[in-house]
Amino acid sequence: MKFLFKKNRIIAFTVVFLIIFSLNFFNETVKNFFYNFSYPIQNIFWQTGEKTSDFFSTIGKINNFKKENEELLLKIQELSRENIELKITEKENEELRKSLNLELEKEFELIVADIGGKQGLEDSLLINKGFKDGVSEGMPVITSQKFLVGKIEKTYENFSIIQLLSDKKASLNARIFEENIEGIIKGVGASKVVFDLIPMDSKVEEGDNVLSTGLEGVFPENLLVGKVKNIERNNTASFQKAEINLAFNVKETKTVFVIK
Amino acid sequence: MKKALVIIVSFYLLILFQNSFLIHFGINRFIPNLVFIAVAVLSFLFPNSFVVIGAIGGGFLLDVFSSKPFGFYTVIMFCLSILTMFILKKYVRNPSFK
Repeated sequence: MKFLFKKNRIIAFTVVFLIIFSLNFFNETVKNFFYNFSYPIQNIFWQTGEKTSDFFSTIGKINNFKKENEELLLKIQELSRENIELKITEKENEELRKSLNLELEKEFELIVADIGGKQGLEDSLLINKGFKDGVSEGMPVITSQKFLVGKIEKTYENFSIIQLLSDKKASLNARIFEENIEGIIKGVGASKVVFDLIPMDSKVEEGDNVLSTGLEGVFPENLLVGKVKNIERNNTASFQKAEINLAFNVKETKTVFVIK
Repeated sequence: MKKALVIIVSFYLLILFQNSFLIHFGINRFIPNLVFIAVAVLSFLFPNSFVVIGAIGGGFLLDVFSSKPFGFYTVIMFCLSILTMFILKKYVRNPSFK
């Protein structure tokens, strides 16, 4: 301990701390510099982690494969039937659109980005596209399956930080697809999300799909947020609350799309 | 100084490991802060100046790879290492510790 209280050591530590605190003025440059040369290593760690995690989860699930396979076969049959019905509806829809002379839906303009890792232990992700690639703060981020991931929180020259829906600062308007009940999705941290402000008289069930409404003006509508997991009903409260199982799984995703 | 540098490089790799590899294995979505643990353990085993320097370096790197302002983790890691050494010196009596 004595080594710390020598006069020159105290001065040295003070200078070091002052330098570190002053780096807040060059936050973006410093972080971009570190992310730039760390990204290849992070990428290797990410891919290795993904493969190792897949390997262990496969071993863990090996007993359920037969049962799962049978269930999946049944589901395929069900989905094929649904698919045919949807194709018929789509055709009808197209004809109706043409006849009504409606504009076709605008496709999203996307920027493809790879995930490099989490930012610290927070609910945010680092991606390899920055303002140089056209990414700017507030842009929504989705997966290839159109699952909602979050929005761009911070951009650097070559990198950006995604604020995940589970971040404590994140919130968005959403609705339950099956019942058309609106509420607010709020992040509670640690990869958890709740669907709040559901009216008490609404019938919410576990497994219901939650979609974005786009009312808050950040996220496009009808993007899948997740499924209802646990419903919290309290007679003293005026609203119901439900935990949401997010559709986006960070462990299974390598590439995300930033909507311009 | 050489030892401190080795510690800082190890912390750098540890942070990348925990941010990019370990998140695939979070138990109940919990990922431990390895640098925090490492600083506490190193301060306990080697109460020397190089560990304090290493702790400051590790804290700085945690700041870089988090959304917190620069200095946040640096101060925490510095205090942690000092506190561990203080507790070790004042309250731990063990013949194996000199």
